[in-house]
Amino acid sequence: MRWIIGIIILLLLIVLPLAGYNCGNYYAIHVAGLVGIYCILCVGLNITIGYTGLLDLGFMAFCAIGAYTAALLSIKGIPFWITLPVSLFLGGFIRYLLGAPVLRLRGDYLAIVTLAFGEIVRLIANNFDWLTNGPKGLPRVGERIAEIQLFSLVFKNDLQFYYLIFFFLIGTILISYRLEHSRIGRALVAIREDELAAGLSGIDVPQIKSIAFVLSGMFGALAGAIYVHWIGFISPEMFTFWESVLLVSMIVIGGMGNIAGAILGVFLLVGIPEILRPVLGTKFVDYRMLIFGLIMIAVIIFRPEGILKSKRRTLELEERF
Amino acid sequence: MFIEQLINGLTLGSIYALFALGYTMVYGILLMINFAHSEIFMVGAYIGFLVLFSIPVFCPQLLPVYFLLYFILPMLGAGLLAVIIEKIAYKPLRHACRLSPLISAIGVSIFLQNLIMLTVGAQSKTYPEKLPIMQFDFFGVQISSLQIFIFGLSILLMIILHIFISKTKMGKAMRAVAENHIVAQLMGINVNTIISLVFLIGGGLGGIAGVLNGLYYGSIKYNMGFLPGIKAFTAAVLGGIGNIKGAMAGGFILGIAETLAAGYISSENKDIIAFVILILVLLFKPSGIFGKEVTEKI
Amino acid sequence: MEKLLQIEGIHVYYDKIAALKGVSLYLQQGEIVAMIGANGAGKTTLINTISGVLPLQKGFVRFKDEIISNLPAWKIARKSIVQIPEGRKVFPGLTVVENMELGAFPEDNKRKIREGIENMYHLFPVLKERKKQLAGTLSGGEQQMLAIARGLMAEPEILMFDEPSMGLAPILVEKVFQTIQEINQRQGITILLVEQNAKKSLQIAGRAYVLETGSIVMTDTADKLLGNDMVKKAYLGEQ
Repeated sequence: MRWIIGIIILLLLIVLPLAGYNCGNYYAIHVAGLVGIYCILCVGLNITIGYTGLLDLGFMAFCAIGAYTAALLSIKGIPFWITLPVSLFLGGFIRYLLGAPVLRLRGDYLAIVTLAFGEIVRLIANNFDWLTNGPKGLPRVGERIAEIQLFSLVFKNDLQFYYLIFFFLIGTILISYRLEHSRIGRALVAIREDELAAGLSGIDVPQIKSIAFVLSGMFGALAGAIYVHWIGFISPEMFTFWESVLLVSMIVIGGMGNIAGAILGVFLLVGIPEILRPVLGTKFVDYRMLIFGLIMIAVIIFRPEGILKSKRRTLELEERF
Repeated sequence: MFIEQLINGLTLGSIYALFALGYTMVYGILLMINFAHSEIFMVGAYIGFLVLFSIPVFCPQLLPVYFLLYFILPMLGAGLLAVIIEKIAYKPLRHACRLSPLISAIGVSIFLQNLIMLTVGAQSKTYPEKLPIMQFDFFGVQISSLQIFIFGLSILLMIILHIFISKTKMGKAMRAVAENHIVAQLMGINVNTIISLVFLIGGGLGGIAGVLNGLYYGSIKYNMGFLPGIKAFTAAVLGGIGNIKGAMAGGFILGIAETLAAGYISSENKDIIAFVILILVLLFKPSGIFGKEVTEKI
Repeated sequence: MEKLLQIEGIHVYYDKIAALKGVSLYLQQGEIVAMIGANGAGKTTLINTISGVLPLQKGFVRFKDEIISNLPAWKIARKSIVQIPEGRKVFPGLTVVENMELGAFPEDNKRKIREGIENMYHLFPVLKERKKQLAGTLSGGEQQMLAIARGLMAEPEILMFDEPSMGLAPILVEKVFQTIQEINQRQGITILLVEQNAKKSLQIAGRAYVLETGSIVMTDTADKLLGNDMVKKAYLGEQ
C-alpha cells in the first residue's frame, strides 16, 4: 500500500509540473524548483543534525562553496558535468578539514564553531573582490555562467531545471536512505545514544562521524552548484547565518533524523509561504520568520521529536526523561 | 596612534565585557549558550533609543534624571525580558538534551529580531545626540568624553557585580547554584529564584552594553546584536566560560585585539579575524586562556 | 512520645522501576534512628525523598502536623529538616566560611550567623585553620566536618546523614560517629543515620530499620537488632 502511494506521488511530481507549465503556471514551477533545492540541502543537513546529532549552524557555507566553485569554473567555460564533481569534492574536502578538529568538540561548542565558519566563508565571499567580486556577486559584467548541457539538451527554463533538481533530489534521498540503514547508519545511532559505549564496542567513532559530516556537506555543495546554474547569479548575502538557521528550523520542525521530516519542514517553511505569497501579499512573507521563531520554540518544548517522529529518535528522547 | 587604538580597544572591550557577562553567567548556572542574549543587547539599545527620543529638550539641570532614565530603564527592560525568556523558552527544557535549549534560544532570537524589525522598522536608527560629547587632548592623544564615560561606567558596573557576587548572600547563593543545583536546594536556596536573578543581572548588563554600543557607533538596527554577540561570546569563552572575571578580561582582550587588527592588519577583515579567534579558542583552549585550574564558576 | 517525622507508605519510581515500595517509618524527638541496608536498597532514595529532591508517587511525609511531601526541596530545608548528602558535596569553589554561611542561608541575622560559625570552629577547630581556603582543597575528612558544620548551621530539628563514613580512614570514621552522637546528646537534634557500616550505627542508635530492595523488612531497637541472627549474618559479617 505504501509503495503504491509512493509511486502515485512520484508520478504526480513528474506529470503535474508539465501540466502546470503548459497551463502557464510558471510561478508554481519556480517554487517547486526552489523547494527541491531546499530539500537537497535539508536532507543533506539532516545527516549531520538528525543522524549524527550535531547542531550545524553554518551549513550554507558549503552551499556557498559549491555555488562559488561551480560559478567560477563555468564562467571559464568548463561544462557542468566537470564543475559539479569539482564542487562536490571541494565542498567535501573543506568539510573534512573543518570536521577533523571540530568533531571532537562538545555539542554546543561545535554549533558555535560551525556558525563562525559559516560567517567566515560569507565574509570571504564578501571581502575578497578579486575572487568573488564581493557583494556585487558573480558573474561579473560581461561574464556568463555556462549552461548545463546534457547531450543535445540545454537546460534553460524552470521546468527543465525542475526535472534536473528532481533527479538529484531523488539521488540525495536514496543515498541518505541507504546511509541510514547501512552499517554506518547503525553506528551513528550507537554514537548518538552513547558515544563512549559505541567507542568501547569497537566503532571507530571519529571516522564514522567524519564520513557522515563530509557526506552531509557534499549535498550542500550539490545544491549550491545546481542553484547557481539555474538562477545564473550568486552573491554573498544568499548565504547568511539566518539561511543556515532556517535550514535548521526546517529540520527541527519537520522532525529530526528522518528524511520525510526534513522534506515536510521544507514544505512548511519554504513551500507554503512561497505559495501563499501571491495570495496574502508580502506582509505575510514579512511575518513568516516571526512565526517560525515561535513554532521552533513550541516544537522543541512540546514535541521535541518534530512533527514527523522518527521512531528511533522518539525512543531516545523518551529515555532521557 | 597606537595609544589611540588602545583606547578605542578599551572602549570597545568594555562593551564586549559587559555583554559577555550575560553569556558567562547563564552558562555558569545552566550550562547553556543563551543565544538570545544578543537580542537582549539589541532590545536594550532600542529602549535607550526610545527614552532618549522622548526627551524633548536637553536641559543640563536634569542630567541625573536623564542618566537614571537612560540607563536604568534599558537595564530593567532588558533584564526583565531575559527573565521572561528564561521562564517561557528555557525552563521547560531544563532536563532535555543539551541542544534543545540552544535551539529554543535560536527561536527566541529569530522572533525578537523580526518583532523589532516589523514594529520599529528595518532601517537603522540614528541615536539622538542629546548628551554633550567633548574631545580631550592628552599630549596629542585624542580621547572623547564618551569613551571615558563608557569605560568608567563599565568598570563601575563590573566592580558592583564583583562585590555582589563575592560578598552578598544572594551572590554566594548564585555561586552555590552554579556548582550544584541539588545541594544548593538542600541549603534552602530556591534555585528558580537564583536562575531568574542571573538572567535579570546578565540581561541588564547586556541591555546597558546595547545602549553604550548605540552611543558609541551612533546608530542601531534590529540585527545589531548578532556580530557583537558572537564577539562577546568569544570573549566569554576566552576567559573560560562560567568565569566572571574571565569574561571581563576576555572582553577587553577581544576589544583591543579587534581594534589593533583593524588598525594594523585590515579593517575590512576584522570580523574574519574575530571569527578565526573564536574557532581557534574553541578548538585549542575551550576552557579559556586562564586554564581550568583557576576557573571558578560564576 | 510524639512522632516528629512520619513517613507513611511511600512509593518512589525512577522511570518505571520502583526504588521504594511502600516504606513507612517515623522519628521521635531526640532519638537517633539508623537505617541499614545494602547498596541499592534505596537508602539514598529515601533520604532524597524526605528532602524533596525526588518526587514520590504514593504515600506521604509528615513533619509535626504538616504534610511536607508535596513541597519543593528548598522549602523542606527551611523547615529545618536538613540533609548531609552522600559524598559530602561541599561547594568546592567556595571558601570554608562561605560554605558554612550558605548552610544558614535562610537566616537573615548576620550576628547569629557569626555566632553559629564560632560554634562550629569550637566543634571542629580544623575549620578555623582552613576558613579562607576553598572547600575543594580540603581533605576528605575535613570536607566531612565541613559538611556537618554546614548542616548544623541551619539549626536543624532533624539531621539526616547519608553515608557519613564513606571513604574515610578508620580513625576518622570513629570521629564522625562520635560527633553524631555528641550532636544528638548536646543539642537534642533528632538524627536519621543511613549507613553501610551497620555495626557502628547500631551502636549509637536507639532504634533501627533494615531496608532491602525498597522495602523495610525489619525494625526494632538497635540493641535487639545487634543481637538478631539475620542482621548479624547479613550486615555485621558475623556467623
